[in-house]
Amino acid sequence: MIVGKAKPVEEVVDMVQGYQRILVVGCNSCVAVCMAGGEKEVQVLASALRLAFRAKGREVQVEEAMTERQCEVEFVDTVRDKVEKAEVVVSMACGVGPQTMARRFPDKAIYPGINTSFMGQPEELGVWSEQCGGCGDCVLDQTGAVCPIARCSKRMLNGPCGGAQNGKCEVGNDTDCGWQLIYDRLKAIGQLYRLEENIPARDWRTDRDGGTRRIVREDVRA
Amino acid sequence: MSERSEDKAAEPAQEKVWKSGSRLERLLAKGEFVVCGEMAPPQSADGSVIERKAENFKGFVDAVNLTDNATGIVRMSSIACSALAIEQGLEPIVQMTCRDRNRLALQGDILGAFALGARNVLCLTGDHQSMGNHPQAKNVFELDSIQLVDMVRRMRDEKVFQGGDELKVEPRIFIGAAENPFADPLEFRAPRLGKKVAAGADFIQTQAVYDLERFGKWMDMVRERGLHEKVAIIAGVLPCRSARGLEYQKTSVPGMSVPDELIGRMKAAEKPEDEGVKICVEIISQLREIEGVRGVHIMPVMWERILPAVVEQAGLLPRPEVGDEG
Amino acid sequence: MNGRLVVFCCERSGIPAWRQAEAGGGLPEAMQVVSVPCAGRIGVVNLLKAFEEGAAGVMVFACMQDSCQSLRGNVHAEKRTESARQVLAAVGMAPERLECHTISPPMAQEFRERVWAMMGKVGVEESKG
Repeated sequence: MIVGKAKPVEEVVDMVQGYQRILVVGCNSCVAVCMAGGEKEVQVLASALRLAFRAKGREVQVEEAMTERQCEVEFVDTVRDKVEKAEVVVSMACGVGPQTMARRFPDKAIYPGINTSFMGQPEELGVWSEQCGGCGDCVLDQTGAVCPIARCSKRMLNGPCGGAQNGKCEVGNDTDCGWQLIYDRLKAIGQLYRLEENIPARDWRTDRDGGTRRIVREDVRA
Repeated sequence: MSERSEDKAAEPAQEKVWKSGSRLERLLAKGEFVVCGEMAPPQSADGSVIERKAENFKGFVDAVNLTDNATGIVRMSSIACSALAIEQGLEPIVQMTCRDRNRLALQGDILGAFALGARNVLCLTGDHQSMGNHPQAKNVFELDSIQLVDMVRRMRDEKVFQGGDELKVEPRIFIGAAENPFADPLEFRAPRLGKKVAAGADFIQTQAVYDLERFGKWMDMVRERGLHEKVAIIAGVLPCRSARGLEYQKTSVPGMSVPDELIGRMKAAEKPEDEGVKICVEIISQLREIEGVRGVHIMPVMWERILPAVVEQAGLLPRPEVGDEG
Repeated sequence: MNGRLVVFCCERSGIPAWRQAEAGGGLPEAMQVVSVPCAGRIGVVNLLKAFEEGAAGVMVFACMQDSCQSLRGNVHAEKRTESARQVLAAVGMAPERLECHTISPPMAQEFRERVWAMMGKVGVEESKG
């Protein structure tokens, strides 16, 4: 799932400084699951905005709304009425949400209420970690289903580097060494032989380096 | 006499084809125990620093590494310093990391380094920038050290760019890589050396050795695989000047193994600097006894002026002449 | 701000303590008690809404450590109080206006003292009579 974290309240207050009628829209999908932009978080931000502006001596109207997903126009349309009544919209969906809303409501200022970070999973309640590098050319078959691009701080394909110690990465923060994980996994499934081959320089065109990406499926296009 | 024997008599003696012809390569080929040093480039635009630093290395080492934004701290580039070092009569080993450059820049830099007279390169993945003075930077890391070694080897031996185009004049460079016998997972460190050899490494420099037992175990595994015959292993040493400095390496430098006994000696010493040199010299002499160790790489971090003393006390002077080995 | 103190009380600890304190007399008039089945039911937004509705100060009384019937309700209450305090600080309000305490049923005097301390802190004028 996509994982993010609510922006600091001060940042959002700054963004919507000059406005009277503000709409905060959350999303019931990924960001609700990672507790960044679900209904509760929308309520907290809306409340915080009201308190913030009152402390500055201003009364503002802060409305709240939710979309099931904010990456598709059909879902975004369900909040059309509220959007049209507002002067500005703060979207608490992942980065895709505000952009979808902006395309749908081209004359409305849409601002981000969360910082979208990565594709990852919950390790335990309250802890999420990055798992997928989104590289467009998956090699999990070669690495025991541990992503060398997301989980190695240096995106190495022939890791580990010389800085790994006790299964931890040299960047600190208790970050796991991705290649220790790969090594352990390959050992567990009897595929250590894979590490004997040198993986050649990667073609990064399928990643962001090839330009903004787009997938077109002619077979399913209308 | 038959025509054939006449032809044979007329054949010139076989000339050795050097990969680079560098002093380092020639000495290793002669079977000499080589001595490498390491110079930290200045954290400023003052190139004259190299001239001053050169005094600590000239005549004491066979080649000297110029680091490449090591530990993520910005310094004058390794290639620029290597060119300045050549002016001072030193043979540089250009260090190149994959942290700050993509394959375009790396290849361009190899061509430039060669054109400026450099003949040795050490291919590294590179320290993560989070530990340096520009942690906010985006990193590159689009190649790793093994892919870099492979790329440089192909430029030199196959005369081809990584993208496939032909290279008209190839960089005849002696290719090095690093390996850390003390990092985890331990059991993979010798196989990983094998990968670097397969990629084309001509020489290897290791992380600083304090833990001779662990280093010995690594060398056992390396010899088991016959790697010591395929690549010249140059063991790293780091002369330490204080107990605190040694402790710092033990606790704060990733991938270092420092026996407590050595820290004890430094703490107990009346003159820690002298003890530090003594320890370094002891380690060097023990390394010389290990089969497969072809030289020593002295890294006098923040203490470059001590290098001449270490080399002298280790009995490594004078440095050999490089003749016209054929 | 209307000068009210909103006091969220866990029905197992805060409420009995409050009732005892009330029976003994001397609790501020400008105090509104909200009963909750467990302090863990209080969300960050409930605390913020109390301020939105004009409270000068907000308090939470939860069961003491290891006494929570829901096991960790009191822990959640403390964490959420902290989150709400951070929001207050971010919007220019004093985080000291929000407090979370643990309490047990017989502690009427402590309840009384804490409530009056908060009243004094948030500057609500009232006689103790």
